[in-house]
Amino acid sequence: MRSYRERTEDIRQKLKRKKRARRAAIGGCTGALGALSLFALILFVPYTTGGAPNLFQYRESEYYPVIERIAELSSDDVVYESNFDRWGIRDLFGAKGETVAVPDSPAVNETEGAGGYREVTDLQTEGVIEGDLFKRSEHYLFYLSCRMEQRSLDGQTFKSAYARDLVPRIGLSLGVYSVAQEESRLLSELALPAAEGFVFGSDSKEREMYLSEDCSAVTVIVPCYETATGLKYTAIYRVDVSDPYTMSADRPLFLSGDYVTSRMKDGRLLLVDNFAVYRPDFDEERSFLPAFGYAGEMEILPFGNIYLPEHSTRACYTVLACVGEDGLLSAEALFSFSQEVYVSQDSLFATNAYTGEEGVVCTEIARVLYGDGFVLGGKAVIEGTVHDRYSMDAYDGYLRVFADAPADFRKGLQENVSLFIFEEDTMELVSSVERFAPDGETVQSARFDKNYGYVCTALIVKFTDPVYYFDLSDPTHVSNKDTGTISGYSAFLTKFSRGTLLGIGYENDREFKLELYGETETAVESVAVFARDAYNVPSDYKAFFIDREHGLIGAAACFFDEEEQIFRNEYLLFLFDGYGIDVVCRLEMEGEPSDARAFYADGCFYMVSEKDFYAVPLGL
Amino acid sequence: MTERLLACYREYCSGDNGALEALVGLMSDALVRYACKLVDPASAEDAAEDAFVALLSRRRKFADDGHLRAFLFKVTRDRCYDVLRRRKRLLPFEENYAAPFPSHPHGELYRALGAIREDYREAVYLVYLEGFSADECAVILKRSKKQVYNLLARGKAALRKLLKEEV
Repeated sequence: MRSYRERTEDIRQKLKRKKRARRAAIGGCTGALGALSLFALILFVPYTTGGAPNLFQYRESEYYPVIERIAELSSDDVVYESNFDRWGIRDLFGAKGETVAVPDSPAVNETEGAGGYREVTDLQTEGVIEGDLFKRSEHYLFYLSCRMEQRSLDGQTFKSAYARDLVPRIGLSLGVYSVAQEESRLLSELALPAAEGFVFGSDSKEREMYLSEDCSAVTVIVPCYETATGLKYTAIYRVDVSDPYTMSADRPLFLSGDYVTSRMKDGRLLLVDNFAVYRPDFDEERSFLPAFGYAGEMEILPFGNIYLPEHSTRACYTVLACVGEDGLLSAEALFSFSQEVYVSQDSLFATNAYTGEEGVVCTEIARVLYGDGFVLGGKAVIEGTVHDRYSMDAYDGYLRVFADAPADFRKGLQENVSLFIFEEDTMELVSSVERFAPDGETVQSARFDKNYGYVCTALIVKFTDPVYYFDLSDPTHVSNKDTGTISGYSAFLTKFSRGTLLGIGYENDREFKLELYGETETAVESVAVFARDAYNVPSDYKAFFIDREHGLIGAAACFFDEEEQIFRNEYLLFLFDGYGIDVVCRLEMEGEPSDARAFYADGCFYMVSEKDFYAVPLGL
Repeated sequence: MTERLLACYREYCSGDNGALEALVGLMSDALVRYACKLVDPASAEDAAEDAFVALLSRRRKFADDGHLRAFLFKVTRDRCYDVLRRRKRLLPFEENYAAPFPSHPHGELYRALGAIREDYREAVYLVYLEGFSADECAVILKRSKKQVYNLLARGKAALRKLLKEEV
């Protein structure tokens, strides 16, 4: 037994030890927390890399007005970055790609003339050829595939697969099929490799191609990325298909920006890109100015070829290029213009929406004449926005535009639809029909056909619409009639056989709808309708097959099979006989509905997709 | 005595280091004695000292002296159980008791205490030999007041039976 004094002394010693231990623990924890906080601050606290840059050093540059405008528009978009990204730690969990060359398919030793050119795409403007996934000659069908390359990743972690260059990439190939009724088959396939330093992106689904009039060359247009800079380009390949069994591709030509649309006229390709400037580096001209040329030899568009509008709301360009057999013939860029571009026989109309005075949304429509180069041919301003390229049309010296009129709550106005008619040469307003649709409705689809304009307006959530017919034969006295409120709405409208108008759209949130409209003296009436549960309906109008001569409509989608109670991708061919719409052919397919294309020739129906090819005798 | 206990603690808290010895003098024997019911004498002394360290390492507020004593006993008991948990065995009660206080006048009672169940023994010891209230005992034993009453009743009955048998 210890005395009280000894116990007291023991307690004092223990208290001292405990205080020391506590101080050490608190010090250690504080230090560790401090170090951890500092590390987290260094690693994760974002810092801005955007903001208004100092432009003083660029004031002597001929591009200074463009630089100034871009800096003004992009400085609001302050970009936050952290060292977690900068030091590449995030990349440990992500992927980067480089070009993988795909070997060409073996050639087949057969030769046969291609025959004459046969257009298979339903064109908006007669004589102005549009790009598509497929084109055909008399004897051959050309189809552009885009598929993920299959690579064996067995036993590989993502990191090791990346290190060994085994990560799947997107591959592009041009297939040639014979057009020989039931004996039709795949003849050969050419893999198109991305150029050195470039890679095809997931948006390569937006690829298109053209076949020359003599059927000797195919022009392929495909979006891609430059791996070193991440900048987007549109690659243009020219493929010699004079002998479909030994096809060969030239090195691709590049143009800055996202691919928007293209047309082929008189053997020259008119290409429209949208080049969005993102985090510009004013020391690297290609990051904020449109460039074109071959890989490693790109040139910047001269300042004189850049149109700077009075109002600019976005740091982007609509880049226009004319490409001939020998490369780029001319190029022009419209600053701050958007993606809606309509191309007529001789002009191109680009739109630029902006918020005007008193907060009203306006759209500037710029006309660019194309022929021997690009010439700005005037501009017009409308109140509202343009839904898509089918909402504009030039005919007989007039530009007709259906526009979504904006809501103006101060005046008690809801969204609506207006029609504007301009004199094409001067771009001066001739007449307009403003806010003619039910309140709150906007344009869902529009189409012009010579002296007629058709538009479907709807409030999508209600799945009801009127379809309007406008008689535009006298642009100063426009008259119209409509269906009244009917169920569903059309996402595409086009003139069809037997004087009808075809609407492709939705009956409700589940049912895909085909509806044919006809006109009486006073109104527009539904002539026939087909509606069925469907999913994954293509959003690209070109994916639908329209044959006015035979009254055929083709559509691929994921349909519900009521017998087996399952959904499966099917291509359905419909026939309109003047009274109703009937399914005349049903093809089960493996490929994506949006990639399916079809045509009818010499009593045989052909359907092609990335994974399917059918030639079905119909004898209509 | 109990008033002095709280006064000593307050004096120590206000900076009088000398009050510590008085505090130890007032409580350490009771704590060691209690701890000896559970562990060996050396560990019991350590457990009692640890209770003082726990008391003095932070400034605590006690409503009255009973709470302060209960705190010291509770910490002592916890430390003893820590020791037991490490050793995984309980020493016989009589053996523990006999070592530090061999000449206690109520030897038979302590032997009988050693023969009853451990939880009865602890409750009886704290309430009847250390003078804690049922509330304080409940805090020390981490039980409800009703459970303490039950333990006391059963402990007393067990003791009565044992002592009668001896007589």
